[in-house]
Amino acid sequence: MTELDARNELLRASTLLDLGRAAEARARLSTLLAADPANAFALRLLARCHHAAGDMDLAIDTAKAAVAADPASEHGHRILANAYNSLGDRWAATNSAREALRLAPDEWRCHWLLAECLRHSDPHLALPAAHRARELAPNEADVHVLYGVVVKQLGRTEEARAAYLHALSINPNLATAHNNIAVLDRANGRWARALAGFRTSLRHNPQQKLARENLANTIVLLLRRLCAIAYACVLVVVFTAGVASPLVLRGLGITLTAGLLAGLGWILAIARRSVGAFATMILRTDRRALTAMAVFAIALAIVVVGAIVQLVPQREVRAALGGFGHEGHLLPFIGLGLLIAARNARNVKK
Amino acid sequence: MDGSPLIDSLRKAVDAAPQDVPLRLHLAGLLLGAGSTAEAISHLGLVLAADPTCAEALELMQRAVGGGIRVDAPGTSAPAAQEPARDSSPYEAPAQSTPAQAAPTQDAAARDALRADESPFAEPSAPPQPHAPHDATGTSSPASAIPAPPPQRSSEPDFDSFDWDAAARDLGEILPPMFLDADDEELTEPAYDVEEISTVRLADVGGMAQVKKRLEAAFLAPMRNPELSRLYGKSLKGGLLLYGPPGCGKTFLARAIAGELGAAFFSVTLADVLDMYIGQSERNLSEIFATARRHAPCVLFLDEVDAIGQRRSQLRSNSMRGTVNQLLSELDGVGAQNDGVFVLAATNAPWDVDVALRRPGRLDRTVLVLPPDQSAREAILRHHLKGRPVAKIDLAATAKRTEGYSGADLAHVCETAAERALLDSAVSGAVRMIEMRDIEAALAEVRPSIGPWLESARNVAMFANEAGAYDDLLDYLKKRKLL
Repeated sequence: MTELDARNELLRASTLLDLGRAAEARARLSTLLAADPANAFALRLLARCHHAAGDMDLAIDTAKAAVAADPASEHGHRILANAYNSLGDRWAATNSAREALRLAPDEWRCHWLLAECLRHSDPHLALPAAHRARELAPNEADVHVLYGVVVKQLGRTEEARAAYLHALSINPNLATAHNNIAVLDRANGRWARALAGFRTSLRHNPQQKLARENLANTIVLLLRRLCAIAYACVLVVVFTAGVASPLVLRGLGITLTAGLLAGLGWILAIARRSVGAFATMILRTDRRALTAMAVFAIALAIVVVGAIVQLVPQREVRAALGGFGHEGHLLPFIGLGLLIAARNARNVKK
Repeated sequence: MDGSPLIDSLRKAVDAAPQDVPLRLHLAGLLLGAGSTAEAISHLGLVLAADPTCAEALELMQRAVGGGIRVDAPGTSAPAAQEPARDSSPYEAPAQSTPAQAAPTQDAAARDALRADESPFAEPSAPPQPHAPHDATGTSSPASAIPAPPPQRSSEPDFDSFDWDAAARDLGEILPPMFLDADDEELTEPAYDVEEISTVRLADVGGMAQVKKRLEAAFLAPMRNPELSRLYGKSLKGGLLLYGPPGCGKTFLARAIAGELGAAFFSVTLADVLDMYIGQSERNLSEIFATARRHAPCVLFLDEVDAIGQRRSQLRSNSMRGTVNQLLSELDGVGAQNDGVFVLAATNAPWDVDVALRRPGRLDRTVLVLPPDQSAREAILRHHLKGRPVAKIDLAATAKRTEGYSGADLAHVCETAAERALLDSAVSGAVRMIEMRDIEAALAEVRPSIGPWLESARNVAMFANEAGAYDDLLDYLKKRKLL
């Protein structure tokens, strides 16, 4: 193979990789490397192909070979760091990223990668690298997204939102930025906006697993909060049954039932409006959603039966609550309440 | 000349029997007599390539090339001192598949070349005469406007005064050389194969009634009835995009559509377009469309159009953006009309295709090609088991069990079953038939391959279907309870 042929093959493989055809690119590079095993450019490209195909071990081995073939190239170290990072080996990834940065201190990608590696262990250490990447490449949307992620980890949510919005001003189709803004909205209790944000993220990249999970988690979280409210209503009904008149109890029951049904209707409406068929699918198939709906149904039934229908006479309720002060009678209720509250307090993934 | 029925008949006969040398020689003789020197030379070149010592061909070639030029078979002695220092390779045959079609073009070029050298006194209506001998300046003298008859063989040709360079130039335009040098790039032609009219019809496609109905309504009926289409205001412009899981027959359907339209079939993939030199991919695309227009009516089938026409917002490098832009221009018919060129495209990922490609007037009609239905599966299984030693295969039951299998999966099932029987035969030493147990074992081994595609498609149908572009996909997913 002449040098010109090799160069053409490399360019072709690079274009194939850019088109997402990693398998075809790999085949071409394998032929090339059979003739020239120490071709650093080809090795780096092959490592990227392995990475794109999800073969991280191969990606690491090939990237190491690329580094050995051309130790002065920051690109090889960067590819190696990326592969380690994807595999979860943060320590090795950080070391490779630092080496890449040492070789090319003015390359924004090196700073970006170092920040990405460091933020998992210590966002404070990641911040200077993220900031520097932003300075070196102010027109790259990805650097602003990473900067936003780092400052959010440090609790500076408004600064994070501004960074994501800046990224969107550069690339309005950036699915990651839409997802991250939606996460901020959800943390602020803006549920409808959060659902819409996840939906927008998925519109730009329907294959994005994280946004799908966030969407499902948000719907489940809403249902669980509704369960907690329903449970609280049950407690209120039980206590009121012991102290109030039947008429008051019935009125309270009707009010609480209307409120609970309105809450459920609101959740279903915003979910359906935001994500349509996906919401229906979650409600039908997600185990957590089904459990929450079941608990809600039971709580609602208790409120209706106990307060409106008053199936159990009040005197019997009062007798049952005679040991109100004894912890033993309240323990199951408290335990169940704490369990529901704890599950509601879990944050969804970013 | 070209309208002579005898010559036309002989041309067809030679096309049908290209190995028939006497027939070809007879045709060449008639063509020479009719003045179609270039076409005659091309036929003679073919004969001489097969048999360089054929005397009749050599004589005819001598007549065609003109008096004074001796055409020797290889190995015969020639006055070496007077041989010009040029590539004296035997004439290369033109493309075997289309000598008749190439001939008119060559003939016109030869005629033009001849006319440039003809005397102003020559009758314009007279058929072109055999090429007059050139003088030293390379132009023909008026005195030889009506050329002398070809010299007798016994007379010595005048090599000193003959213009070899001009002769080489003349013949070089008609017949390409056998071997190319590095700077002969302009003589190369792109190697695009355009299949003649496809023999596949929609009736040959088993099952898939819904798809065929959709194709008929959206594409075939308007194309077959242009007047009716105009009456109903249906535009004849635009192409068709076939999408669906891999291995479900999109290419085969495209071929069937070409057959229904009575058009040639020209299939193009990324490998035909992609080139590393800047601007070359765009040139390749332009040449592809030019080739399709030359062979109109022609179905131009763009396979893997998500690679050729990927969303420009997703392209990380700029190298392919120009290609996408060129594709858009070609589909619009900018610079050349696309009359008679029916553009079909196929992809597994229509969501990756640039949105501009899907706007009205381009690939504006889509057809979802789903995995084969029961009757299609039976037909596919029958096709792949044909020619193999099979016994008592229950096709209906097998087709029923292979719901969700693509055509490629079914081919794999048949292949695996055949391998099992082959292995058993090799071990036992006796040939045994492929039986139902082999099919069942293959079914246990081969699983449907469209799962990942369905997963991606589901996400798109759920989250990226605002414009309703994937409503049929949504319906299919709901029917299969995947949504």
